[in-house]
Amino acid sequence: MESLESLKNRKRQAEYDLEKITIKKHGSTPWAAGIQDQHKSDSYSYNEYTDTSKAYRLIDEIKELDRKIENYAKNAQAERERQEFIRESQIPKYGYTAGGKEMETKSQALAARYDAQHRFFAMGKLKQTIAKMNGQYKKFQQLWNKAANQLNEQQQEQVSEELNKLFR
Amino acid sequence: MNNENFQEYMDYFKNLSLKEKQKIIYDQLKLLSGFTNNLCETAGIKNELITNKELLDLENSNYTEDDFSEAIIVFINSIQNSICDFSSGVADLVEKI
Repeated sequence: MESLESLKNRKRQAEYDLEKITIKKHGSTPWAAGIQDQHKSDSYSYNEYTDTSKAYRLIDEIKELDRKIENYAKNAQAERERQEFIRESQIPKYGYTAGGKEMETKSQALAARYDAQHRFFAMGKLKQTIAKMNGQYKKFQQLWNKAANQLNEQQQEQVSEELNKLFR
Repeated sequence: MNNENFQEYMDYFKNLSLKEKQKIIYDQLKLLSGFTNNLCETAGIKNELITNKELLDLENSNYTEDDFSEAIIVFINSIQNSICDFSSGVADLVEKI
């Protein structure tokens, strides 16, 4: 896309070229003989040109450049969006399913993780069970310790009984 | 059982044909599936035995590799489900003690 500066330069050049071939007429009507400017036929000041076809070509070019300059911002935005779209479409995307929906991501790792979650059945239940067991870890430890102590107490009782029998 | 014993078993297992290996895998997983379900029942823990019609495909001697994989995944999920229910049941019991 042509830059704003370039458009303005071309407009300036066209206006300069037009000025060179323009003969300005003041205070007279265009009814006299000669080449007349039909654009301003009922004004008291009008332009005549040494090369009419070139003049009209330059006038059209100036109008076109004016339009482009006016729409420059809008066109630049559209061009930026187009380039962005091209860039985005060239980035590899990975598809995965999450919650029953097809999704897309640029991250291969994320897609792989979601694929894993989808590939294995009942992972939610397994994770919940692990969390539950972890939550009971301390209680399990206490029970084991209690059972171990009770066993020691039983052994001690047995030993003291045997000793009592010996020393009765 | 330890790794040494198991290595002896693996040496035996590796010499079997593919069909024989698959038969052992199928039978052992079937056993485990029943065992883990029974474990829950014995402990008074609610557990539904996971089954699927894909298991029937292995009754036919001309089963394909796909049939085998599909049957195994049924067993794996059955065992997983039973272990989860058993563990949850034990955790609930421990909490009440």
